[in-house]
Formats: sequence, C-alpha cells, structure tokens
Amino acid sequence: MINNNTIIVYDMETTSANPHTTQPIQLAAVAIHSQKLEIIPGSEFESLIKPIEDEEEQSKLGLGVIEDEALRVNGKNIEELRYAPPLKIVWDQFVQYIDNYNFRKNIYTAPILAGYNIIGFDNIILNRIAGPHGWNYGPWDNKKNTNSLFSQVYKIDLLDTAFMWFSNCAEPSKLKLTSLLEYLGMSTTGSHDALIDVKNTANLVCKFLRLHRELASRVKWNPNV
Amino acid sequence: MNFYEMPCGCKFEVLDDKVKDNDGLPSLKFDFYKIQNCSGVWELLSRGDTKGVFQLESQLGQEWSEKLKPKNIDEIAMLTSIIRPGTLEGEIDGVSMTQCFVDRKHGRRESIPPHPAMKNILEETYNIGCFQEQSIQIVKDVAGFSEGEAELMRKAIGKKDVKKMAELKPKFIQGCINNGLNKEDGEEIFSIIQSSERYSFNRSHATIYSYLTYITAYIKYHFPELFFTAWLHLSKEKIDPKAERKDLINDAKRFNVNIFPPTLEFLSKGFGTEFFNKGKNIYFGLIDIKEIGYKNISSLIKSIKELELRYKKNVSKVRWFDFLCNIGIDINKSVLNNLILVGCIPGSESRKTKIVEYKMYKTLNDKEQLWLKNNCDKFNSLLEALKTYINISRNDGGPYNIKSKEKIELIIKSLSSNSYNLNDDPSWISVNETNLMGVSLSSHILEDYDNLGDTSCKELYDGKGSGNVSCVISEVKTTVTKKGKNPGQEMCFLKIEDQTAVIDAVCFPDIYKKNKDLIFEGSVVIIGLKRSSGKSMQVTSLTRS
Repeated sequence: MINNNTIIVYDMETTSANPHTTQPIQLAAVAIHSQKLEIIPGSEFESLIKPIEDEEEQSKLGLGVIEDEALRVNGKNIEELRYAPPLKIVWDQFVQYIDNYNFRKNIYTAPILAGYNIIGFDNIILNRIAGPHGWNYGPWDNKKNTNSLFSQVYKIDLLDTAFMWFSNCAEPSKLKLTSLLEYLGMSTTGSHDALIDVKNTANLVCKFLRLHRELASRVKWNPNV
Repeated sequence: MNFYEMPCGCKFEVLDDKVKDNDGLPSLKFDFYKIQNCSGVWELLSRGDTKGVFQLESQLGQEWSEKLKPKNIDEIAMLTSIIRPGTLEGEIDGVSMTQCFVDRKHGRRESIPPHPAMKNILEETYNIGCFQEQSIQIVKDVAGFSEGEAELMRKAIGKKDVKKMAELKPKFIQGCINNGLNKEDGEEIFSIIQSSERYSFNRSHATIYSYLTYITAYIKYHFPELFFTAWLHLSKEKIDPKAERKDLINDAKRFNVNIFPPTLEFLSKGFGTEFFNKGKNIYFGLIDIKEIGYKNISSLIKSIKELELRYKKNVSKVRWFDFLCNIGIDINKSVLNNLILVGCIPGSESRKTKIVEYKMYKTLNDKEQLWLKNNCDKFNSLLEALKTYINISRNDGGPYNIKSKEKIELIIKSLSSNSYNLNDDPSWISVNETNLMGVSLSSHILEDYDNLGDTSCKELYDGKGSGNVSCVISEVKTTVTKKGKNPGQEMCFLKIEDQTAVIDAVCFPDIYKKNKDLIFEGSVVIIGLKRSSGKSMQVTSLTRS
C-alpha cells in the first residue's frame, strides 16, 4: 500500500484542558510530504484566535470559562488575543489551506491528520468546530458523523506510537511531548507555542515513519512465504 | 516555383514566402501523391517512434517496428501482417513466427523454405507465407491451378472454409503430381497452405494501408507540431483521454515540440478552445481541462471579448483584479477555479492568492459584485476596494444591512492577514495540473528535488549508453521470468520520467529484489541505467532521491 496523501500535523492551544468545553486560541499546522517524509518548505499555518468572552455566547455554544492557568501555560494573554481574528476567519483559512493539499478534492485523497494526543484532545475540538453540535463551520459528513476535511480512515497520533515503542521501557519515564523530545535529544525550547510544538511533532512523525518504513521492508511478516 | 528544403533533403513547394509564427517555415504545399522517400522517416520507423502512426501506434506496433526496421512499403506491409495474433502465436524453431521472421530478416536465423517447391514464392518474405496472395501463387505454380481456381482457393483460405478446402485438395494433389512432384509432396504443401489460413493476410490490403502508415510517419517526421496538434485534438475520443494526452505530450518532447499550458490570449481571435499550434509551440486546449466544456467556453469567450473591449488590450495583459470583477460575475465557479489552478488567468499574483480572493469574491451578493465591476478601475485589489465599499452608505449603494457589513468586515480581516504562505510551490502546481489536465506543463515534481543525476532521460533516449538519472517512476509492470536458471522470479518493466522525456527500462530480478520498497508509481529516485539493446535500458542501481 502506497500512501500519496499529504500528512498534516496540527496543534491547538486552548482556554482549558477540557476538550468538550474549551475553545481554541491558537491553531498551527505544517504539511509533511508523503514520499520524502520531510516538512514541506513554506507549508506552515499559524494564527492566534480571538476567544468568545461574552458569557451568553459561551453558553449558547456550551463553552466553559477561559482559565487563567491555561493562558499561563500557553504564554498568551487575553489583551493580545482580543486583536486576533475570530475563529470563523481562521477556520475558513485553515479549510482553504487543507484543501490545497487535497489534490483530487475527494475524501479518499484528503490529507491525513497527525499530531500528539490528537485523538484524546485536538480532534474532539476540531470536530466541534466543524460539526453541528458546536460551531458548525463545516465541512461535515452527516453520514459518518465526522469532519470531511481530513482522511476519515487514517490518522497518526504520536502518543499512541510512543506508547507502542516505549510502554515497557524505563525511559522515557513519561510520554508527554516534552519528555519524548528530551529523550530523543531534540530541543524543547518554546514548547506550548502551537507552531513550535507542531514542528517538533512533525519532525518526530517523520522520524518514526522513516523508521517504520525501513523496518517494514526487513521484517519477514509471513513465515510461510 | 520556389522550393523549401528540409534538413533531411526533402523539398516542398512554397505557397507563400512570408514566414509565419516564428517557426521559420513559410507556407508549404503538401501533396499526398508526391511523397518522397525519406531516410529520416525510415529511421523513425526503425526506432519504433510510431505513436500516432497508422497501424503501428500500439505498444505492439512500436516494439516490432523497432525490431524489424522496415526500409520500404513492402516491408511495412510484411510488418503489419506478422504482428497479428496468428503469427505471434504460431511457432517456428521454438520462437514465434513473428520473431522468426525478424531474425531471418536480420540474418540471425537460417531462412529455410517449408518445402523446396515454395522457395521462389516465399523467398521475399523470408520463407514465411504471410500473404494470402503467396498461397494463390503457390497453387498456380505448383499445382497448375488457373486464375479462377486459385481465387477459389484464396477465398476458402480467407474464409477458413474447411469444407471447400477439402473439396479442392484432390485436384491440388493431382496438379502437383502432374508437375513432377509426388503425392506426399502434394499432401505436405497442401497442409502448409491450409495452416496458413490461421496467419496469412491480404497483401493488397496490407500494402495500401502501409502507404498510409508511411504518410503518417512522414508527417510526424517533417511536421511534428501539426501531427501532435491533430492527435492531441483527438485525444478526447480515446477511452482514457488523460493517459493518451500524457503519452502524446511525452512523445512530443522527444521531437522537440513544446507543449504550453492553456491560454486565454488568443480566445477572442478564435484559438485556444481546442489544442492549437503557433509555429513549433502547441497550446493545451481549454475544453480538455477537467470540468470545462463547450457550454462554459462560449460564455467565457463572450465575457473576454467584452473585457478586451472595455480595457482596449488583450486579456493576458489585464490585471487580475479587473479580470475578477468583470469575468468572475459571469463564469461558473468550478470553471474559473480550474482555470486559476492551471495558471491561465492573467495577473502576477500567485494561483493560491487568486483562489483565496476568488473564494472571498464569491461570498459577495450580486449588488456587491456589480459595485466592484463598475468601480474596479479605481482600486488595485479586492482588499482596497472593500475597505472603501464598507464605508459607503446604503443609500449610495453601500452594504445593505448590518449583516452585510459584518460579512464584508470579516472578508477584509481575512484578506489583511493570511495564516499561511500563499506562494505556489512546484509540486503543488504539478499535482493540480496533472489532476486537471492529465499532465503538468508549467512545473515538474522533480523541481522539488536536487538533481543528483549525471544525465537525462532525453540523452539516454537519443543514444547515450549509460548514466544516472534523477527521475520519477511513472509506471510499474511486474512480471515473472520465464527463462533462465531460475524461472519464476519477480522482475518489472518501468516507465521513468524527468523534465525532458519518458523512457522505458527493465529491472531484472536481482535489482528488483534489493529495491522493491523503492519501486512504485510516484517514487522519486536516482536510477543507474545502461543500454541493453536498441531503445531498451536496463536498471543497474536504484537509490532514494
């Protein structure tokens, strides 16, 4: 099986740690070339997002409060965020950005989503932005009850990959992104900024994919052949 | 009478001295009844460069034209007769009759007649009876049949009429005896003639068709730009038009014919809807772009004529913003989107920028779009125009209500700061053009890679013996070996391409086994190649690019 779909690594910084009630305040992404397994030069996407502060509006969308602790961890302040574009604008630009990498404009050639702990966190928020139970900005597949921006079959959650490799090893002691980066000798400067996190994650994705492809050709998968 | 002489020595009568369209050629007369015998054309046929040549267009025709290397019309007739199923499947000396014919022609096998009595008649076709007419001559010479009786025999052979053949057999054998042969000879010769029904072909039919083969090869050799323009125009009739266009364009590169992306420049003058050539340059037809048909083109032409009238200049010189405001209002969304993606919309802005701005433009209502059309001359960009429009009162034609105003505000904010790079990169251009046209004309996927090769596909195609090429594998056909020490081993035939040409290569089992993970369609690699025979290249090494 040969994958020709571009891999998009993304990350969101948010107003709290609850993916079901939080709202994004920064969205970043980079694209990985499916054959070269390198970040495509010039493929960065990054924007701050103005959060909804009005309580009535928050309530309509089922949003929780903006937590000061979350802003502190992300290194953002509310005054700076008030000048950022609203989610609608950023999301429309993100959709156009992703669409640029879906060359045949169908669900089978849609980019593959990748990131760190995206299944447990970022993808939930992404589907709330696109879907009818949240912001409803689309694109949404009603039949499959998921967004139709990305591949509906494949996704790469690096946390799961790290678990597969290191779940029975003394080191790294934790599987946080920063712990993994440190263990692999990669820089952790600027962590919790979405674009820096995304580039670090993308480099890790490339590293693991190359390793897997190299090993896959050497393993005797079927002992009967 | 003036004559124009081509480099090959062929001369054409000049109809008009004036050189047109920078191709260096005056208008020439092409007379079907005065086709010259040109060594260049025979060389083209001998190279198997017969894509688009009548009767030899298929892979089979190309392969066997290269092997046989016909040198006259008779040999073309023989070629087209021996590449039919009967001769390909029949065997002589352990090889197909077709291969045996080729080997005998080139002196690699002894040419022995099936029976000595048939030697004089079959000698010219290397003792393989590929024509029905040869069977007629044999029955006349060997068995003394009259013209009419021989014709009956030919019909019986042609229609594979076993009953009729059985009726003629006793007369045939008696005729052989009368001419000094014995009964066994007669039986043997009759049996040979009878079996020829499976593979022999009508010579007169083959010959006249071969004349057409030569003429099409002649046009391809002398006027390749006209040849390829015509075939590209007809590509939409094929089962897979995109694949056909890709094959033709790759072939055209080998003839130094340039294919350019579609253009709107000549549309108002009646050119551009279909493939057309200006001198040596062929322009891709607009209707061959995905989702653009004749129905959409006519409204596009009308809008472009109005635009050119308004700005008193060719559409290719018009600003993108003016184009957007004047044409965007009338044209189908997917049509304009696809025209942007293939790069034929004027303006120096990147294709990605145009896509974004067009998308924003389409969210405006009719009144807003009309305001832009009427006022676009005053502004340089959509952003600039909308920044003015939002401050115009409703009574003066500005935004209708608060909702409209909010929408315009959002568009202005979005256009003011984009969250990603809007520069077009070569692989993005290449993939989109391939998706919409079947082939990338402005860019090649290899532009994203360092060229670490020491030669090109074209150099190898033109005769260079070996080299390393930085290329992309565009087709892989795996198979298993049938001969050799260990039959049944996996190997493959590849099509590899770079910006200069597409060539074929064979990858034998030892190399294939070591590099299987690199050999797939779309793989960008550096391939070491050496010539094995004729046009065939053999892979000697493979590394990831």
